[in-house]
Amino acid sequence: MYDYTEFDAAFVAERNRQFRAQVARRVAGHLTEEEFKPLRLMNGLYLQLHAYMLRVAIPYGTLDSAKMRQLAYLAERWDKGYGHFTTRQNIQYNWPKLSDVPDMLDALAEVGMHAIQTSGNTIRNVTAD
Amino acid sequence: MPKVFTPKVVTANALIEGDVVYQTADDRWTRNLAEAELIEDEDLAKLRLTQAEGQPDEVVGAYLADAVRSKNGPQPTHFREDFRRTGPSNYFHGKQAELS
Repeated sequence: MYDYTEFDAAFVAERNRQFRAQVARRVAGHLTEEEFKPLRLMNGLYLQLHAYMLRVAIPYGTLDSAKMRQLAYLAERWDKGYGHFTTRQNIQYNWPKLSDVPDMLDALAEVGMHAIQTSGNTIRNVTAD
Repeated sequence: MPKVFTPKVVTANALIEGDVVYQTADDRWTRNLAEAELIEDEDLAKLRLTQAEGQPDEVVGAYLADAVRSKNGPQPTHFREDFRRTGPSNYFHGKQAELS
């Protein structure tokens, strides 16, 4: 299983720091939703019919126990106690609050995970029949 | 021939929680469709929508949704709005589970 290098960890930490600031500016009204929408989508955060949805990347669908426990922690701490593993073998949380997402991303980074590039025209997990 | 205006409610998603919300006649945002303001005048509907769009610190993606009057308050006329009112339809979780 791939382990983050120092570069990877620093990259994700900086990305999370940027997104935390973007969320703060959106909540404070310094960003419009039109300005904020592409930024949140680049960090895997959708706004769907009933709530926000955070899609976490699980490259190659592989997890170790530390990652699995942290995914459970995210569900219990910031969601409704469950997540949804997708057909691409990512996981989605269907009830996060916008204000909690930066903390969720930092918690993911602790175990070498992120929600980057899980939406839009990007490279995704490959699936096959 | 211009389309006939049908009654509407103003609906959106709450900015922080993402919950489905509806605008009331006294300018609150409620999660209960039965408490929503049913607007039966087209000009008033446009005004109320504009007012809702002017609250980006509270709601996201405000729009006018078709509704009809009933003894239990406004009721949806489209299944999409019925899903938004009741919560997820795939299995028992979300809004309807919390209200049960």
